[in-house]
Formats: sequence, structure tokens, C-alpha cells
Amino acid sequence: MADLIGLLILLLVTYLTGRWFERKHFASIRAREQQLAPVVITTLRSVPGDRPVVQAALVTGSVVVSLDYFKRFLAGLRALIGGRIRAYEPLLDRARREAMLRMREQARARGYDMVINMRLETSRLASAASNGKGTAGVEILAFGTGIKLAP
Amino acid sequence: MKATPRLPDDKVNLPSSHPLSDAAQLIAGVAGIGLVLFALIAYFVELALWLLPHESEAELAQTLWPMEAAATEQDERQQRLQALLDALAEGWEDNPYELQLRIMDDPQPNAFAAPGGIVLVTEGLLELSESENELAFVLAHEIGHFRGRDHLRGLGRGVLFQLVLASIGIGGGDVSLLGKTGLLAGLSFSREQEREADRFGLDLIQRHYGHVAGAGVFFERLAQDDPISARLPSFVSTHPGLEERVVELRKLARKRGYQLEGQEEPKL
Repeated sequence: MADLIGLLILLLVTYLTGRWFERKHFASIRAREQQLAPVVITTLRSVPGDRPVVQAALVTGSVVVSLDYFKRFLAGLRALIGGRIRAYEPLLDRARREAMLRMREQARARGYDMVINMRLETSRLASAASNGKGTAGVEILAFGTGIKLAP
Repeated sequence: MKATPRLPDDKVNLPSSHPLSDAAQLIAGVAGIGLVLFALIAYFVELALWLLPHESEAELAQTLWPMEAAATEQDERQQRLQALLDALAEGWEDNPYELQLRIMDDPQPNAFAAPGGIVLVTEGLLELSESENELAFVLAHEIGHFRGRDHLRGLGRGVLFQLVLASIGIGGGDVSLLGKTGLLAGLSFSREQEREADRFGLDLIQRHYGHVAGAGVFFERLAQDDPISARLPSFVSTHPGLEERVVELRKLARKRGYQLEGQEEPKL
């Protein structure tokens, strides 16, 4: 019984904190996407247009995310029934957008006009607990080629 | 070529439902699966219960209670209680068990029927009963549980449920739950099982003493001791209401023509 109450409290607290952080993060993401709109990202492999390129270099943005207890609990239940793990979707959406934002911030700081050949990669970080079988979190990496065009 | 900055789509990768509605849906689904599982488990345990050979049960008991077996001290009180238990069990004609009485050092009044024909009584129970007849009814009631195989039912369900949970990867995978606590938890029975054990216990008491005086007095004593049944030990709180049981016992005694009055033996 005490276990059950502990579980419920843990679920409630992690749900509320998770919700709060998610809202805050989405607000920040939206604001920064607006701000960084002038730094164009494209998945094209070559520079569109015919302005000469004066500088090009790798730009990256990386985010490591993990789950809160509430999301992990829902995913655990989902593993029994099957279907979309809805609890994870906003988390990964946040991570991808945050990674792209960091990449664009880097590009802007170096004075690039655009990032071409942008790619996203995800890798799983093994957890030290449960013999490395569990997942501590995932890293989302956004990378591309920052391009500075001639004025 | 001119690039027009556009904001990414804000919604397409996000679920449209609220996380709590998702949670409610999941919990309902899992609870449904759990109920079906439990019904299936109960069904299979019911089938297997009457097929389990007594040798296997004895082996199971050996793995469960090795320490207790070694620690059994054959003092005089133990021997007298054992003799009482044996005498009561004579009233059960096709008894396949060699019943063994063991005393648990626990101040809570409680008794259990455990696999292998072991009747556990607590020190608290021995203290609370004021005549042999009162105690005899509790013992006879436990013998009734052996007759209904109730002691294996709860345990079987518990073990099977843990196995199922472990096989789908939750519950820690620790199937060796047959510790003492897990076992005693598995020994709580349904009300109907309790009533049936009461009925059979009453028959045994009549056969042994020729009257049923003292039977049920113990429940009255428990009820007086602590009227708030929520505070009672599990042995009692999972049982039908105490007063209700006493009334039913009286009714049954009258129906079968058992004498409610009689000479009670002194406390053991």
C-alpha cells in the first residue's frame, strides 16, 4: 500500500514537473525559431542560387534527452498494449527542434548565411544501470555545412 | 534564388490527445488485460488444485519451511496442541494430510493453513482463547481450509501471477517470492471459503466433543476486543464479519441439531 502511494505521488510530481518544463521549452523553441528564421536551413547538397561562397564549414547542434518517470511509466504500459508511444513524441520533437536551433545559433555566431546539407542523427545512450540494457537517453545531433556567401 | 524563411510545422509531430487521457486509456487497457489474466489464472489454478499429488505438496512445503522444520521444538504444550489437532482431524475421514502444528512467535491472534498440512497458530491466539474448545474450533476451521485446498489456491494464484508478470518483464522477475511474507499474503481466502471452513470446522467440533460449546466464542472475543475491524489482523479482516459468522454458526448448529451448551475443557 505504501508502495502504491509512493508510486502515485512520484507519478503526479513527475507529470506536473514534466508538463511545466515542456511548456517552458516549447515557448522558448517557438521564440527562437522566430528569431533565427533568417538563418536558412536546407537539406539540399549544394548551395542554391549563384552567389559565390566565401566560407564553408561544419556546424553542429546536439541535444541529449531523457525521460521523466511519468513518461517512462506510460511507455511501460504501452509496451503491453502496443501503439503510438504518445508520451515520447513531444519529447523527441523538442529535442530535434532544439538541436536544429543550436546548430543555427552556431551558424549565426560564425556569420554564416545558411546551412546546407542538414542532417539529423539519433543515437541511444546505454544506461549504466540494468547492465547497460536500459536506455539512459538519446542524443539528437543536427549537422550541416555552414555557408557564407559573398556580399 | 530567393529563400523565404518559414517556421517549422508546430503540430504535425505532436500527439493531439492530452497526456492524461492517454494515461487513462492505457491504465484502463492494462487493467482489462490484468482482469482477463487473473480470471484465466484462477481457472487454471482451480483445475490444477485437485490434481496436485500430495507428494509434490510435501516437497513444496519442504522448500518453504525448512527452517521451521529444524526449529520445531517438541515441548509439552506443542505436543498437547498436536494431539488436539490430530484428534480433531480424525473427524475428517478421507484426510490425506499428516497435519503438523507449529507455533509462531507473534502477539497478533492469527492462524494459517499452510502447504504440506501445516497449521500455524500464533502465541497471541493461544493467549486469547480461554478454553480448549475455543482453540479447537480455530484448528478445526483451519482443517476445513485443507479440505477445500484453500491453502494452495491463493498460493497457486500468487505464484502464477508473478510468473506471468515476470515473463512480460515487469515485477522485477523475482519469482522466488515464496518468502514467508509472500506466502502468508497468499493465504488469505475468500469469504465463501471461510464460511465453508467454518461449516466443516463445526462438524469436526461436534464429532470430537459431542457438542459445539465454545465454537465461535473466539470470534465474539475478537470482535469485543477491537470493534474496528479495519484494525484487526489480516486473518480476521479478510474473513466475513465476525458477528455475522457467529450468527451463522449458531444457525447451522441448530439446523444440524448440534448442542450449543456443554462442558468446556480447560485451557491448554
